[in-house]
Amino acid sequence: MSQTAAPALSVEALSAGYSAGRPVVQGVSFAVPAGAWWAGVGPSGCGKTTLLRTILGLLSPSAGRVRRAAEGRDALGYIPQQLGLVQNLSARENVLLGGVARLGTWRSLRGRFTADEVSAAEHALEEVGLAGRGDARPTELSGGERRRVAIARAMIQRPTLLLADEFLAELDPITSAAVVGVLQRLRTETGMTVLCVEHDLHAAASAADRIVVMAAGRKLREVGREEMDAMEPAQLLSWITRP
Amino acid sequence: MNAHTFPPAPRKRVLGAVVLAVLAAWYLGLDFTALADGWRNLGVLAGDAFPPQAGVLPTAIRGLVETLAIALLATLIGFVLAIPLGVAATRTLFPLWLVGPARLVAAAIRTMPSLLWAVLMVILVGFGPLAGVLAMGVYSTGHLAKLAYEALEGLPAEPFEALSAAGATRLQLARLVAIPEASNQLLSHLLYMLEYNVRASSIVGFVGAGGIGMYLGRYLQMMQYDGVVTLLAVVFVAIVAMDAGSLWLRRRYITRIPGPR
Repeated sequence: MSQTAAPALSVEALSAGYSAGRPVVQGVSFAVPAGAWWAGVGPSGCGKTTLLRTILGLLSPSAGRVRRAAEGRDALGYIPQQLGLVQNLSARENVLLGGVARLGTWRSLRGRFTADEVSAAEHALEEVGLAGRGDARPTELSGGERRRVAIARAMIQRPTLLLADEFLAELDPITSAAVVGVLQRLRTETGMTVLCVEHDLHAAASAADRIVVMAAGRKLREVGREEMDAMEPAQLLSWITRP
Repeated sequence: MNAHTFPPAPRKRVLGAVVLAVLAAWYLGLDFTALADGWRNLGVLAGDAFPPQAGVLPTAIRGLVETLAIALLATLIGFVLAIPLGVAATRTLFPLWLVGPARLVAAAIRTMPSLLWAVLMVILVGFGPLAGVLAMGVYSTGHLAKLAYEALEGLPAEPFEALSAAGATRLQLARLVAIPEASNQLLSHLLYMLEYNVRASSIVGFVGAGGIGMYLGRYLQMMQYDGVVTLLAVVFVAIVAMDAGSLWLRRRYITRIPGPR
């Protein structure tokens, strides 16, 4: 994956929290190059989700700032921890919602999608290995299949920057590898930048070009692909468990 | 090992509730000895009411059909108006400048009981079913709007956050996420309102708003209690049938309530 020098996302001395004077994230800085896949890793409660929610604009930073290179209504994609699928809609309808920003007011009110849009959604489902499962509700799908629906939704949206929260959590290694493979392919095709946060170090290290190690709301260090490959997994793990 | 009650019995709260109930009865000056005389009166009434008058049955059935039609129309009108009002009153979707007035309208509608709406509509359009439909329709709008915004506000935030990031507008979130996600609850509210309106339509008829209540009022005025009992029996059968129908619909479309094996 070729990466340009200009960052797709810059986080500068960012602090944020849910109550004044008690920051959950403190002074975190990093810059994700366009087209890269970075992962924030750390133990539960270290501020990963808060960091992601602040980047998304769902939380206001108490200090520092977030800069995103991409503009436009649908430039930002987000896959929350529970995937954010609408439980009462089919997999196909959930995927169609990826194109919501391109839908006019009248068509939105009618809930009307064109035949081309439906075909694109079906194609996206095929791409993620869910051909013929378009009518299934999220509750009728396995954890891995639901994640693939969320990826297919992102494929329809084609965001410039995709943020994912614990995307690989609770997946078995085979499903995790399959889901990562699908997302890598989407990244290759679209040049999309990915920032995910994971508590599972191995899952994050298997997918990301670079990881940002976090503990107690602070960034400890960044580890690049080459460094990760050369490192013993136990050493990497020790940074997280014993910062 | 100490004994344990599950869940812990809130003795102080129960005691507090009893004290409040006694105080309320004392304030109202309730004299429960009046019940003793009441039983005697009830005996006289029962003598007049039984056996029920079978000849009233065709009138009762005509009134019941009219009541069901009023309730159905009113519920549908209320539902159609309540959905946009309820959506506009949802704090998690829209800003306060829209939520505030929408809630005010819903609250204002609910302030007046359905019987008063019926009086108002009888004044407005005269006696008959139209007054009943309008009265129950308006009342249903306020009631269903409140139930709708409470259901919509209780939905999980994640689909909204994901699609908001994807560029969805508030209107799109309402139409494409909130309403589909809450559809089971909204349908459940619709059925509840239909049941309520069947019962309430029997009451609003007393003030001339059509339905079986209108006949009930007439027979009561004429003190023909055997006719009243026939009408009430028909209402009772209709309500039991509605409960069964509602349970079937809920089982079929809303929740998978386990049926008898």
